[in-house]
This record gives sequence, C-alpha cells and structure tokens, in this order.
Amino acid sequence: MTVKNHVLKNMYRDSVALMRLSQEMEGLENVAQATAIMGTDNNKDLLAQAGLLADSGKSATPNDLIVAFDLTSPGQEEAVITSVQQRLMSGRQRTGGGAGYRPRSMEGALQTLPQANLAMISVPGEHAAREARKALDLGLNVLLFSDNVPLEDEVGLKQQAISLGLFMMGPDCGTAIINGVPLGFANAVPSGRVGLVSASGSGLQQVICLLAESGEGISHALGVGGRDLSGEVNGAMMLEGLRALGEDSATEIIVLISKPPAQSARARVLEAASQCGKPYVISFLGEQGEHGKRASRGNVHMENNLEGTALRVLKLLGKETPGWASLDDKNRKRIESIIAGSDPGHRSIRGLYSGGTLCYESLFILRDLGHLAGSGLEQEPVGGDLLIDMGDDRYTVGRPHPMIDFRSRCEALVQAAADPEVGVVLLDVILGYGAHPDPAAELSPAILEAQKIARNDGRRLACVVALCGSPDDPQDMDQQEKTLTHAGALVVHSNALAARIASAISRGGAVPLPGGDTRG
Amino acid sequence: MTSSTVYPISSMGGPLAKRVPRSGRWGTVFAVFRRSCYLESGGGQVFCLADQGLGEGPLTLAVKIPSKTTFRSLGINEGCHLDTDGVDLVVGHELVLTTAETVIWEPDPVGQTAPQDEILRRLDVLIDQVDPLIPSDGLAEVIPHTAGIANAGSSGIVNMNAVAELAMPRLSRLCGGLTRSASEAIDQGVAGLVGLGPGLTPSGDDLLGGMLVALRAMQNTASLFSVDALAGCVTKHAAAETTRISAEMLEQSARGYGSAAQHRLLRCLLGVDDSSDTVNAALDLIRTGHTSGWDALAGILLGIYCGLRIGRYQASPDPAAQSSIAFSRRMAGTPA
Amino acid sequence: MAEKRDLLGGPPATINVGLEVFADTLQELGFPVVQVDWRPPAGGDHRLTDLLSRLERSSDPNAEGTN
Repeated sequence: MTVKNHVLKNMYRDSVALMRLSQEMEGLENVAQATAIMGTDNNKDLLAQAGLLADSGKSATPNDLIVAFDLTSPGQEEAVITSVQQRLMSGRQRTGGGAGYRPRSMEGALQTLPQANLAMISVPGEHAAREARKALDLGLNVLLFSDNVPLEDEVGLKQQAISLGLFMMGPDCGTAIINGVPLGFANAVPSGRVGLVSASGSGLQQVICLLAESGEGISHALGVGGRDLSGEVNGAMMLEGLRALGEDSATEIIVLISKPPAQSARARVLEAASQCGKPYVISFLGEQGEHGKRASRGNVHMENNLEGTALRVLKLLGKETPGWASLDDKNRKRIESIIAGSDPGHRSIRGLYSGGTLCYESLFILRDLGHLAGSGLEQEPVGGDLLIDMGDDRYTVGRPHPMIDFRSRCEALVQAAADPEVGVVLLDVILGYGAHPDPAAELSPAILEAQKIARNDGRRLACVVALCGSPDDPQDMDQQEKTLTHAGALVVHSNALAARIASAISRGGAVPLPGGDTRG
Repeated sequence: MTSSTVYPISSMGGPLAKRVPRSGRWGTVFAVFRRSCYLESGGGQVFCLADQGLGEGPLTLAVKIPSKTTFRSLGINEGCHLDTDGVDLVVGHELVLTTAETVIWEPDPVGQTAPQDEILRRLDVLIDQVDPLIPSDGLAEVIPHTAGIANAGSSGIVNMNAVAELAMPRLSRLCGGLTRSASEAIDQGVAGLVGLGPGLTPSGDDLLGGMLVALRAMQNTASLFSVDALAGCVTKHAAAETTRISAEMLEQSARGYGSAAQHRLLRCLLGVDDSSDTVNAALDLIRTGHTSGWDALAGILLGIYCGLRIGRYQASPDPAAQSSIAFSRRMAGTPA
Repeated sequence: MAEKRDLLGGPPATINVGLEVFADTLQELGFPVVQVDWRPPAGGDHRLTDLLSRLERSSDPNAEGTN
C-alpha cells in the first residue's frame, strides 16, 4: 500500500463536495482508502491514526485541503490526482444557471426544470414507493428502476398513475426509450415505426437491437416492470402502454414482451390488442402448446421467444430475413471443429447471464430441445446443464449488477472451466447506455484463461456469447465482437441462436432451427 | 451583460453591519459555493454573502436571488471584489446588490428561561426524536451521550466513527473543566476539538460553536467564568488551528452570536413559552450543510447540559476560579 | 398541465432521483435532466419517516392537513 497526500492551498469546497470527492476517489480502481479534509493539526492526527498521513500532508496549513489516499499499487498517483483536480475544478468552469446545481428535492428540481414531465427513480426499494408517489403527486410520469418494492405498493402506484393520466413504468423497470431518449439501460437505435411495451428489460433490449441491426427503428419502448402481468397488478400499465402506442401516430406495429402472464391479465391484453387496428406481435416468452403460435389470430401474432418476435416484426413489415438469424459459414465451421475435438461425455452447458430474461429464454429453449437444464434456484438437475442469472438478488448483494461489473462473471467463468463436466459456457453481453464501457476487455482475459485451463486438462471449452447491442451503441459493437472473437468466443447477436448453438455443441450434432414456424 | 439586475439584500447581521465601509472596497471573494460565497475584508474580517434561503447569521449578507440561480452563474468567482457606494454593493463589475430595504438581523433573545426540570424534559424528548436520524459522519453520534458527558464524563464509548471516538475523551475533559471552572482542562479539551473533523467548518468547530451560543444564552453569574474561559480558549486556538471561515464563525459564537436556526432552537429549548416548535427548529438546523447542522446541535445540547450543571456544581472549584466566582456572587448579592 | 403529462408527445425532460449514471447519459446526449441530491429522509425508521412526512405537510400552506 502506498500512501500519498496531495495538498491544495487555500482550497475551499463545501462539505458535501468533499464527501463526494472522498467517495469518488475510493471508487477508483487503484485506491484502497481516500479522504479529503482540511489541513488542521487535529485532522493531521486523524489522518496519521488512519495511516493516511504522508510528508506533504504534514506541512499543510488549516486553510489547505489535504487529499489523502492509499494506493493498492504504486505509480498510480498521477491518475488519481488528475481526477481529483478535474472534480475540484469542474465547478469553476461552469457558468450558466443551474449547471452543477443539485436540488435536494423533487419540488426543487421542478423549479429548476419546470418543463420536466418524467421522474426517473432508482433509490433503495424501501424508499422507492414514497418517492414515486411524490412524483405522481407533482404530475410527473415515473420510471421506477428500483426493485424490492412491495407488491401492494405497486398496485397502489399504478392505480394512482392511471387516475392521474400518468405512466408508472415499474417498479423493477430498467429500460425505456421515449422519442429517442434512452432511459435507464437502453440502446441507441434509430427512430422508426415499431412501438414496444415490455415487462422485461433485457428482453426489450434484445428485440430492439435485433431490429436495429436490420435497419428497423422504434417509436417508443415502454417498460412496465416485471410484475405487471401478475394477477394482482393485472396488466394495469401494459394496457395503458398498449393504448398509448395505439394512439401514437408514429407507431405502426405494436410489440408486447413478457413472461407468461396470469390468466386474467392475458385476457385483458388479448382483448385490447384485438380491438386495435394495428398489427400486434405478442411475445409471452416460453409459452407452448395451446397458447403458442396457434393462438395467432387476425391482427394479433403470438411468439414465444425474442428472436422469433423480431423476425415476426420484420416479416410483417415486409423485410427480408436478416443475417443475424442464422449461422454464417465461419461460425458453422468453428462449431464443427469444437465438436470434433471434444469428448461427448463432457459437454454440459454452464450459462452465466446478466440479463434475467435472456437467461430465462435460454433455459426454456434448452428444455424445449430436451435438455435437463436448471437455473440453480432449484435442485441441481441430473443432466448437469446450469444457467445462472447473475443479476439475481442473491448474487448482487453488496456488488454492482453484472451488466456494469464483470468480476463475478469472470470468476464464475474460470471456475466453470475447471469443472471437467462443462463443455460449453453461455454468456450474454449487453451493450448500450448505462452498461459497462468495454465489456469485451473485461471478459476476454477470463475467456482466454478458461480455455487455457480446459486445454491443460486435455479438454476443449466452447464459449458462446450472445452480444446484444446496436451498431450505434457507445461501446462500438464491431470492436466488441472482434475482441471477443479473438479471445476464442463464438459470437452471435441472437440469444436464442446462442442457446441453440450451445445445445448443438453439447450434443455433438447440428445446430437446430428455431422451434416452430417463424420463418414461414 | 451590460444592463445589470439588482438584487435586494434582505438582511445583514448586526456584527457585520457595524463594519460596512462608507464607500470603496469592502472585500474580496475567496470561496464560492452553490448558494453562498465567502469574502475577506482588507482588515482580515471574513464574512458571507448567501442566498436568503440559507438563513441569517451574524456575519451574513442575505440576498434574494431566484431559486434556481447559482452564485457562479451570477458571475461570482474567486477574486471578485465587493465595492460599495454607501447604498449599493457591487460584486465583480456587474452584480449589483441594494441595501435600500435591508433589515439588520440580531438574534431574538431567549428571554425568561423555563425551569430546569422542564428544560431537561425537552432535551430528553428532542434527543429521542432525532436519535434514529443521526448520521454516521461528524460528531452527531455523541448526541445520545451528551447528558452523560456533561454530568459524569464519558464511560464506555460505544462504537462510533473515528472522529467521534477521538472527540469523546476531549469532550469529557472540556465539560469537566467547565463544571469545575478549571482553565487548563478547558484549554486542553478545546485544543483537541478545534479543527477536528471533515468539512469546511470542521465538526469540532461546529460543536464548539453550538456550545458557546447555548452557554452564552443561559449565562448567569455562576457560569460566567467558565464560559468566558471557553470563549477565550476557542478564539485563541481557532485563530491558528482551523480554517479562516471557521475561525470567524467561532469568534461570533464566542460572543453568543449563532445562526438564526441555532437561536430559534435555543428559544424552543430554553424559553419559558410553549415549545411545540422544537422538532421543526431542530430539523431546520440539521438540514444545514452536510454535518454542520448536526454538529452544532450536538454542541447546543452539550452546552445546555453543561450550563445547567455549572449552576449547581457542589465540589470545590479550581482555586484560580474561586475568587472570580466569589467576586461575581458578591456583585450579584448571593452568598459566596 | 395536460401537455406536461403527455409523455409521448416529445422528448422527456427528466428529474433523476438516484443513480447518477442515468442523468450523466442524458446530459452527455444533450437532453434536459436535473439530478436530485437525494438522501434517505430518516435512517430507515419508518415511524420517523412518517413523522417527517407529516412535518413536511404541515409546513406546507397548501397541505390539506395531517392524517
């Protein structure tokens, strides 16, 4: 550990700014401990006691600010100091009313931005409902990112919203795009004629990204939160969303995405859809049998997976089947070579997902193909395929979400490689705003390491990546794909296709076509 | 902008008003925050220009500006000068502040104080009410222990943050010194608290400031020596051992001048009238700054407990003090 | 009020309460957003949260009264 002090003479910043500075410094990669404090004698004692006092700090005077930090490796001092100075000096450059000003309340925020019509709320669950209620009282639509909000609060909030003519997107709504404005974890996609309402964040992202790749844009993408189609909430916001998109002149085709709904909610949604003039693609993910494709009727088309949903939309819009829907020759050859080089007895699948819905979709696709695949939340299945949603609460206590922080997944990947039963690892990588700026750089070392571990043990490990992103996303999707491919991963853009590939490698056979008649 | 907008100064603290120059340069800005800035006069006086929403204070010019406006957006930056022509003040070259309707702010005195039992009851209730809100930064964590520190010194420090843990024995020493009128103990306690802790006004300073304002508000002949000793030690140490903004604040506190919020709370806690506004006054205070409000509250509570104790302390005081107290009592007509 | 409530009529103007990354994104893209400096109103104690809510309402001249 290397302790450094940086002294800023006659530097006056208010207590909140200093506290934030300390927190930000501690969040930096190489910093173990950090604080910003005035250079009084008593504070120098405090620093000394905490092991944070260095020589330059000793000579500080009471009107100087001591920025003290403890580095995990030497040589990083400059980077930390640069970022500190940027943070301290940034207030000086801003002129213009309101820049840098942070109101303490929503009322104060409304005074600063009187034209505000949306509150985006991501505070801890126990406070979320109260804040959402406040926002509705102020006449604001709400995007409620927070989860762990009691179900009865969700019901009440949605009722309140509806009575006020407002939207309550959530709780547990991570994604929305309204008039081209990305909210939460969202992708940069062109504007166009497809409107979507979704009870799933990553599901929504997958569909709009596949559409974007085919040159189809969206009018709006609304989120309703994961429980909207439960019996208690009964599709309250879903119906509002469908109605709004029905009335929106830019929207020509409406897509609905959800896990299978409660009976009453299903009926309401289907009723509303059938009464609207526009074509609907309704995707209840994982549904089979009587609720499957055969339920398509009139303007309402039923799908049960995300890839199929995007394909159906493109077909309805008269577009050709896109390239991402099938394997290109290069990937096909790679799969064949992987299968050729592996022992059939050791090819179980391990899925490490950041998007819950993508994990869920892969699970049912594999089960549909006859795999005994488990989610880790139930008993271990006999077949040994295990798909884990690492964004689930049990994996994210005290850690950032896997869409932002890749450490857990990298560790899990390396662990999976050491398991002689595992022959395929399935990963999703979701790009877009709010996500990690360079996921490929984070994952590649782990992918390389995992393959090396397997090779040293005389095995082959296939790594299949569903790269969910749009060509315009900030992460440069092409570059991400190249980096992952160079590390040995097999990259496709459709999660369903990734799951089918995993199945093929696991069994040593050809990659199955998508189930059902999507491509009729 | 060539046509300047004129903003009214709604109030000016009494101690500051006495020092307004008739014309010419008054001071130079050396620190700028969102809704306030600090200036230093030619004579070394530190004073404050602040959005009136932040409340009045002894060295504060409270100005009425639109609510979404930051000070920097008004063109106020470090190095700007504040000049006056006797009626208006000009900051930088273009920002004009008028004193045409300025009210001189002086704190409302506490007036007649409530009986001791009633004061103790109010303190109990208030501490109970704020206890669940106590943040883990600064010295707020000492609040539940203030009665204990004032009466018997701290025993068994419970788990506190590093600043509070360091401060506890120093607070004990200080309070012990106050009740025994022991100058050296007072000085040692103060030396360990001035400049201690995070913030532009370090936590220790805010606490001492609150203590002083409270003690001055309930001062009587019995406590005079101790309070004067405390005031003297604080101003002495503050001059060299803390930021100049804080030193100025402590100078005013030493004379009994706190912020409007502090005085309002003191009236609620000490005044003979109905105290139903106490929680609101406390909330007003703790909303100030990051921990400054909390630290000042801790100081006020500690100050009141000490103040009640100094009045009835039985054991023999420090010999140096004894003659002083005896003198005061003779002057007041009470038996020595 | 009607125009303000209409969410789909134009690009939203957003008040962000919570994770700053969401406001940062909007700011970088040039969309109107203001970040609220949110603190939990009471240290997790719901009794005190209610007390504070009632205090806030009672100090609001437009409040209808406490319940």
